[in-house]
Amino acid sequence: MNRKLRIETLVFILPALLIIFFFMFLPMLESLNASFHANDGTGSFVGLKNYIGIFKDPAFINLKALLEGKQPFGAMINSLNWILIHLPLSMILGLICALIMIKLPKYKYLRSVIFLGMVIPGVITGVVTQFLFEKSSGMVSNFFGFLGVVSLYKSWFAHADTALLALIFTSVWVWTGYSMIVFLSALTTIPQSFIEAALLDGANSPQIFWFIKLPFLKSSMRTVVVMSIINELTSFDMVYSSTYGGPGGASNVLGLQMYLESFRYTRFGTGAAIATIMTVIAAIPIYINVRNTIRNRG
Amino acid sequence: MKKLVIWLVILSVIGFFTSPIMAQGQKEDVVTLRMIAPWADKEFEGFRPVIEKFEAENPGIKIEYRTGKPEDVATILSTQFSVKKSPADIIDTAWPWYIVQEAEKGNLLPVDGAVNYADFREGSLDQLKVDGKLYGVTGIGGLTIPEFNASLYRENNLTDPRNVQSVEGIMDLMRKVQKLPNVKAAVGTGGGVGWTNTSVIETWILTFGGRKMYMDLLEGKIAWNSADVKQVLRSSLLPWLQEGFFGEPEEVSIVTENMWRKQYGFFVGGTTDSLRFNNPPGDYAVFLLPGQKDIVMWTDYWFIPAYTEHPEEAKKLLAFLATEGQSIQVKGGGRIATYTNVPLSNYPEQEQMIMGVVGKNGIVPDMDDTIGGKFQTVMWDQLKLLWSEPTDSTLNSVLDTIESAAKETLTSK
Repeated sequence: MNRKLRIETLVFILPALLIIFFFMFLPMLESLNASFHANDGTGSFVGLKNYIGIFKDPAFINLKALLEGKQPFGAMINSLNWILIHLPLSMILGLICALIMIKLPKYKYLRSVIFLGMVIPGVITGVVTQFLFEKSSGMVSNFFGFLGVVSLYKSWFAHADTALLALIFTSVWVWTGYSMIVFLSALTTIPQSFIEAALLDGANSPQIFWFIKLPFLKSSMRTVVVMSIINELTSFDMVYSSTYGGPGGASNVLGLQMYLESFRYTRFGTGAAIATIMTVIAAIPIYINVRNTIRNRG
Repeated sequence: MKKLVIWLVILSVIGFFTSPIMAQGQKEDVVTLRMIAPWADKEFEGFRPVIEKFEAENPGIKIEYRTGKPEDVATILSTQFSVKKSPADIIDTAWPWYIVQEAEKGNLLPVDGAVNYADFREGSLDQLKVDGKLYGVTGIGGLTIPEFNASLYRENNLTDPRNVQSVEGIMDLMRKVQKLPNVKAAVGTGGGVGWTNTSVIETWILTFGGRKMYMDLLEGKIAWNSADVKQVLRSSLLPWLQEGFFGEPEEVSIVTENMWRKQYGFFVGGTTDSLRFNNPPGDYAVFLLPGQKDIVMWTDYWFIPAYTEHPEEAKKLLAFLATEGQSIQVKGGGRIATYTNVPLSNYPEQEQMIMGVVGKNGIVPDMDDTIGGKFQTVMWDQLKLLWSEPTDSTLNSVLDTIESAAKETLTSK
């Protein structure tokens, strides 16, 4: 790249770089710095005390409850559970929707309907979810009541064993649209000649999907995994507007715990430490994705 | 085209940075005081006359009102106070502990001399003092008390709860109410953040544990997981929960609407119903549990951030809100004044009935609003767990968790 082109490139990306530096990078450094300082407002350096305090706090991680299998498990475990349940479900449902939608090019409006969850603000989703899972008038609760499943014919948010599940299922509904759109765009890039050749060779639909379509979807899957994990780790608005982490912390997640520590208990050091832990966890899939992308290009 | 774009960008940047300077150059003939309070819709309609009266009496001052709940405002204030700014000149809060906390950090303006102590309920202003200086004033409030629709009992030939003399009698009555068609549960349960469950537990502790136990818990002199407190709640509250008297949680405004639709026997509310509902005379009623001698009163408070640009005008408004403002605000219903010079005739009929109840019984402050901090959030959350799993072991673990939060909050003060 010649010098003039390099300068022009820098001029164009400089505003974005400055914004990222001042509004993201510097605050991240400040937050990291705060995580090593006292909560009492004195500003004194406390090393890893905040981090150690977090791991001893049952609101963050409650191994005893986890071993007993009874909520509350703590925000960290709940967030990890959220990822473990939400990620495969939203990916599989998104993929199924994409495979169906690609065969129905005339029904593009259905894609908008499925994607609708992504454009509704999280706070509204939380409020709507309360009604969906309410015993007296909720569609979900009454559906199970109709099927005779008494244990699920209740207000899910009011009970420790179902509050988090209600949030996760709602999140799956919201994110299925995103997965569908990503997979759909990847499916449209598959050369038709590959599929025709496979058909000529006698391949059936499952074989075509497994050996031709799925390899094309790998990088899309990585994108969906990374974006989903970041979203699930930072979930806050929907939880805040619906359960507020209750009952008894059963639906508390890392995003809400960070908010509570920082703005309700005014323990900014602890809140910053939770934010740092969240960043580290989110960085793992991002790093793997970027590394694989660079390798594949090489 | 490229040069045009570049010039547009340069002009926009210049305009962005110079517009505040130009705005400051304009002379201010009128002082605008920014106010934050939680009232909207009908509740704000009850407060609007207060603003109008103040502006009419003070032509040089305009009030810019914004709605904000205490928990949301506290979030904004923590960041703004850290850079010595404030989003408002006068702010309403339900939490006296917040006023004390921020006053200790130097974020609030002392308001000594703004009001006369003798004009307020005894002790109501003392909790707003730090090092002998007053940092806030009380506003309107209400009672935490079982509210019910009397016509539900009348139409079904059931005894009016006000006439029941024993706890077993009330429980029998609630069993009959549960069996009525269209009734969801004997007692409505408010959902949301969980403060409605604290109203229940405060009322039960006052009734079955007594004023001393209540005040000892408030001051941290007795532990939540002590044998006495456990016994009171095990014997008085758990049976109600285990018999299923409390309904599934519903959003607070919906549960009170449903109570008026006779779907609940009663709801432990905050005496604000007449703001939202036009009740036929005689239908709105309150009762005390048999043996209850004291009532929780919740209150709103006003304070002035130290970073206000108009301290004198803000103090003037504060004094007005605490005194004449309350006299005006109670006329809209759903409110009880903490200013003792409000004539009874200012209250609508329902609130006059409530004032009669106040006159006969002792008043205690709201527990979670007074202690606040982590205790308040944990208590709200843990009680939701107890409501969903009303077992002895859940009660023990809930009380252990609440005690841990109480200790942490009270020792940090």
